[in-house]
Amino acid sequence: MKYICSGNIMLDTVKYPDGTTSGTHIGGPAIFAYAGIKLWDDDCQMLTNVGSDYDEYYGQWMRQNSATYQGITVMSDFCTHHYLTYHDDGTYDWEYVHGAHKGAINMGFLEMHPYQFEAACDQDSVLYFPISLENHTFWDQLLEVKRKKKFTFMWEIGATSAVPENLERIRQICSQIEMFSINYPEAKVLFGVDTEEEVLRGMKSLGVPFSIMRIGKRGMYTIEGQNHWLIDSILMDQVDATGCGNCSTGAAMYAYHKTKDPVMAGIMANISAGYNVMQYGPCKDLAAVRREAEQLAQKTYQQYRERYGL
Amino acid sequence: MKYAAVGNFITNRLQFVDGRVVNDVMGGTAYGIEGLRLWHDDSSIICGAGTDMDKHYGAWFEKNHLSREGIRLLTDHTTYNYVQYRPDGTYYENSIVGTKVYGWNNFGYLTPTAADVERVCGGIVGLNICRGLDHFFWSEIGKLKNSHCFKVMWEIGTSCCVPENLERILDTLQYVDYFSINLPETKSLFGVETEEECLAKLKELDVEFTLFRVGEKGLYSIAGDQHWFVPCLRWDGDIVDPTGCGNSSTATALVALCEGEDPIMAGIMANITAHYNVRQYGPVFDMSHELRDEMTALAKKLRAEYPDQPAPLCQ
Repeated sequence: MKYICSGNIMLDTVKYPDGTTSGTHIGGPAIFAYAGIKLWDDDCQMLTNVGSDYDEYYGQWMRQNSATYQGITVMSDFCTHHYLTYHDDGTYDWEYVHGAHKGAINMGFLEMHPYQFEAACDQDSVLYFPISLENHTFWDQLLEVKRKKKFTFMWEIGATSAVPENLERIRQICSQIEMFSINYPEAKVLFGVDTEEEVLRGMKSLGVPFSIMRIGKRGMYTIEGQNHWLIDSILMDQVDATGCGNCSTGAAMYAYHKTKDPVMAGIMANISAGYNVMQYGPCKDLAAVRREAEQLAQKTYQQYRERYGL
Repeated sequence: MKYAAVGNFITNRLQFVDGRVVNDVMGGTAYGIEGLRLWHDDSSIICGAGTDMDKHYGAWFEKNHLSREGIRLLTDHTTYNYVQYRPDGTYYENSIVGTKVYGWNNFGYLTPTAADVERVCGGIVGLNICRGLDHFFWSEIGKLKNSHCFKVMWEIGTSCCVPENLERILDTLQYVDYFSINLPETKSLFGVETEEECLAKLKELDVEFTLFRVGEKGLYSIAGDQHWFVPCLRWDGDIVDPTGCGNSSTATALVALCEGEDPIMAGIMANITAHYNVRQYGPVFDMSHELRDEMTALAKKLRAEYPDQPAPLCQ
């Protein structure tokens, strides 16, 4: 498969104040990014480690969407599963369903290893992988594998890594990869600035060929070299925004690699995110909305041609 | 590598009941290595580790010519835990700082997979595995065992030993040749009170050998429907730190059985390992041939006190 979405998959169950719980929702960066790409193209797969209960939760979605099981490795007895408790002020707490100790060990156990990228990727592969910066050893090994296998890499950075003291290291990594994704609050902290203009200047200094900066409900900026484009979000009926960052990043990676057009990349990324917000978990039937998504992308692109004089 | 301990390095900061605090103590599966290497040169570990492992384990590895073949360096930090002993003999254990780097996520990432075992199990004769009830892991080990014909010693963890896990434990034992459990764990698992009741229950398990550890008293070696009590070999000097006696003695029993010793001798050698383990913080630092000769002579002397001549389990 050409487009590979790696990272964790995770299950969420919401606890309500009255003590009841929601059903269990499938999620995790790998599947959200995968859905973001699979909306447009079937030449994609996940690359993830899972529990042996995986099919019980993800199987229906996988079958509904004719998703491949290639790249899915069973490594433990259970998938990472969180309880989420939302509070009136909008904040939430989370806990491992399997207990703090056991849940944390299992989550670590299921994280990806560099040798798995080496086995799965070749020079035609385009890899999405969200990962923090903390583990230098992992990064050294990952970049070594990338040099060896010559795949294209989209890195989605996490909030804990986007801090000023990591900026130099992020620049070093960005000089060795092709694509980068961050959200606006993270970018403000990373560059120590307050406005979008300043953040965009910072993004253009990273030395990565293509990047996106996600700005929540407003959409995203796509950045190529010293140019940037504001791409508005696509309004859909919102049920749950979980995973939109992963979904849009995966789609942007796919679309930019496919079209080499940063505007179209942003449009397709926002459309993928639009379908992602319409339900808990990823879009349930991607094939059923592909044609609609393609038409929407073409129509929206015409508008941007006029806006940007493309 | 002929013998391997499968697990994790855990460096410890130990706080004892009398208030002593000792930092940077080698631990975790280092005790498993000790129990193997004291009796056989070609012994080491299968694990993930941090790139900082040499800070605490490097000199010990060099001194004892321990193979690094089974170690994959995966993160920046080897697991480092804080262990606080309580007056009742139990202890509290947690990561030294509550961050992902040193924490349980890191521990999980470093925990060896069955694929890690497969990578190096070509010449393996015996695996000492200290692990919980991870069915997927055990079933994969079972497949490797079938194709490579090594022996497996399982030292069960305390948290697993509750009656509701009994069925899963019995299922896991299909992948295990030798089993190690202590007295409180056995009582809890079977819901019984006396050593006699424990022995009766342990004899029902479908394994070739069980090392039943009864604390300061010593241990029982169990094979089939026979058992032999092997009293603790007390160290008359200062008992510096008893941590790891169960791990190291269990690993020694594996080597003993695989090298053709009978169950009584396996118990004696296990006790001798514990006898040396208590003399310092962490495992024995210099596991020399001179020390092994001394231990072997002691084992033979003690073995002569037993009239029984049970057949070795592993010819």
